Amino acid sequence: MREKLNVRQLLLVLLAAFSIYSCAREDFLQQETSKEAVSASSAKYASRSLWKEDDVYIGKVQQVFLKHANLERFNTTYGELYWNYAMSFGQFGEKYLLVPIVKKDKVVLLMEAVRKGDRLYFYEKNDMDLLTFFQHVLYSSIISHSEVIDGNKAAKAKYICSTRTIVIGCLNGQTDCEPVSYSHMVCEWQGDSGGGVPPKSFPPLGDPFGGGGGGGGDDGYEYPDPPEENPNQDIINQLTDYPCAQSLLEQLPNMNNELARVLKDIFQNNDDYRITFKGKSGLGDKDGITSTVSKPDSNKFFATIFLNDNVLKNATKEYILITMYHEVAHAYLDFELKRLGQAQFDETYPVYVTGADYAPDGTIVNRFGFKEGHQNVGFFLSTLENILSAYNPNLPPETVKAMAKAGITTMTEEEKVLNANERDTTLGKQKGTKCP
Amino acid sequence: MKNIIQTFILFSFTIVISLKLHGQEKKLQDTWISKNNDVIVIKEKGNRFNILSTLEEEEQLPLNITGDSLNFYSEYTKVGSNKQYLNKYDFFIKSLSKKKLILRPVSDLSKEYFGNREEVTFIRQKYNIDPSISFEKIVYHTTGCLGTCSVIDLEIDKNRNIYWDGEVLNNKDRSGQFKGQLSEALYDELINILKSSNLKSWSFPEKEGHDGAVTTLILYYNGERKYFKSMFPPTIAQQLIDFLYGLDQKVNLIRTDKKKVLER
Repeated sequence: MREKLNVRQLLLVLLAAFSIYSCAREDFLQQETSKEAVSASSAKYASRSLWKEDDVYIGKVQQVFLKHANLERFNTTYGELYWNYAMSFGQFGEKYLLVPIVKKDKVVLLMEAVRKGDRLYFYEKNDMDLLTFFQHVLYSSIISHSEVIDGNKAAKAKYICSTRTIVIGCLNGQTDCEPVSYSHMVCEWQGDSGGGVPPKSFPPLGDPFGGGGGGGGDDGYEYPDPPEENPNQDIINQLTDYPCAQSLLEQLPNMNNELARVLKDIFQNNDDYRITFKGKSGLGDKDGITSTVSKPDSNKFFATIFLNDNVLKNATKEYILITMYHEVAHAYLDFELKRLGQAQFDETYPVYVTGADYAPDGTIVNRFGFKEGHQNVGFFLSTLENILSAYNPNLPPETVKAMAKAGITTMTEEEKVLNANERDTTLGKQKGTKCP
Repeated sequence: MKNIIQTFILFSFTIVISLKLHGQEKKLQDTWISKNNDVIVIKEKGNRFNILSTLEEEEQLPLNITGDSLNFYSEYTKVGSNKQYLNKYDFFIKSLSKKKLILRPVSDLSKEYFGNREEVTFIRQKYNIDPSISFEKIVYHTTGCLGTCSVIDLEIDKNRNIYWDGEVLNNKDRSGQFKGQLSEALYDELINILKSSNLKSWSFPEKEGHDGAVTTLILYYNGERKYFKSMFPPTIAQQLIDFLYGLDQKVNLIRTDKKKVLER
């Protein structure tokens, strides 16, 4: 009897304890759910994206956001930032991301975070297609996903674009549905949008929300430890012993001409293509040489431009500049030959056999022929002239012409002398700028 | 007194070490050639153009020598950034004697440069003599370039006769056809270059390029004819090319009307 009572009491105690635990657990879970909802904007980032994202950037952007934002007012006004679903759309290097803002299980807006140098800017993104895309990523049953990066940076295409696709399966309980796919493309951020509608600045931080400690929407926010800026990662400057030439090379891709654009478009941040500039002694009478390496079975293209040590030390800035561009023209044409194949290359870049110099009244004053190996470089002859005139508008036109033609066409004796004067400033006859 | 002795010992020790290191540098300064035709040229201290080369590539680099380490390096930046990068070609000097230098590549770049060979044995060029070379004739052509390169067609035979046909920029006195005879000293210099350059195992790499002069060398020796042509001749051939390129200024040449058509 005593034993029976004890067992019954024990069972009752267990039942009571279980009931209490169940209630407590329910409360606890509710609290957890509620807590998660409240802290979604501030929860430590842990990617739940289906794709590879720029995690470093997302984490740092979240840091900046949390440092400045009035979180409560932001959440009330806009919704929760779902950092774990932030996407950098194929862009790495701490540059760009989109974070979905969710209210009552609906993606209502996106926050775009763009880094420019050490400043971080926030913009509103209210693109319906993109919102739908994110909505499905967060809440639909995705049966497959993919990403295509259009990374053809050669020649014309300037920006990398990522197209992400998801395929949605059946909703809960449904079985006989057709899968539906959604795609969205996001391209690299273009600061100079060419006069289009400027992005709408997001005011989540500081005014008008007033709780963030300022830092100022339009001026951006300080971005911690920005990565080193390498706008031309794959233009290697090995001219460290020649400060004047080294400085010219730094300017080379940023000048306003066709060959500068070529340098930027092809070699900028592209692991497959690299161009290296080196000084070299023992080149004798050669000003510069370009060596290119490309393997038929790979996409890689490497060019090395050797510049004569004596020229780097004794020539005018204009002479060094035009020698660099002359070699870039060769490297570019080799690149184009690899890219296009011989037949299409021949169609694109005509062969120049002869040319002529004209007087201002249009009469021919001199005829010249293009040198072997330079018939295609004739394509850039006027570009080279324009580069020199733009760099130094005071350079006499006959000197400009002589320097541009050197190595490309036959030259008159006068032109040879004019060019030689720029090659060796120890002669004291140069018209261009002597390197300090 | 004790302090003075200690200072003296330390000073003497420093002097001895410095002299030893300097002696090491001096011993290394020369041209070294491997059987694979790799060439290392170690120049005087502070020279930025020490040469590290294989048949395919040549690097001109500054160099540090410390103890048993030979460190070629190059500094560079990437356009748009001030950050300095360093390429290091590090070698352990396994042994160094009057005639022989054995290097063991130890850094990634040096290993890659020498095709992951465990060690490379170099012979000091002046001891790298092949006495079996019996010179008969050499024909040399070089083309124009971006710059002021002379266009030269040249022939030298075993009787020291030279025919020189050149076009020298802005110099009519040196342009045209000439003939003459090499002095014995110059001829000996030529023969010495040929005998000390691993001639029998030469090859010129096939590399694409622009604006460099194209060098053609046709060598007759030991009853054989060897033909080499490239815009990027290997370092091992550079001594011969330099010798031939400037030869018209070392030899008393006489202008001739007879144009000789040299083989190409």
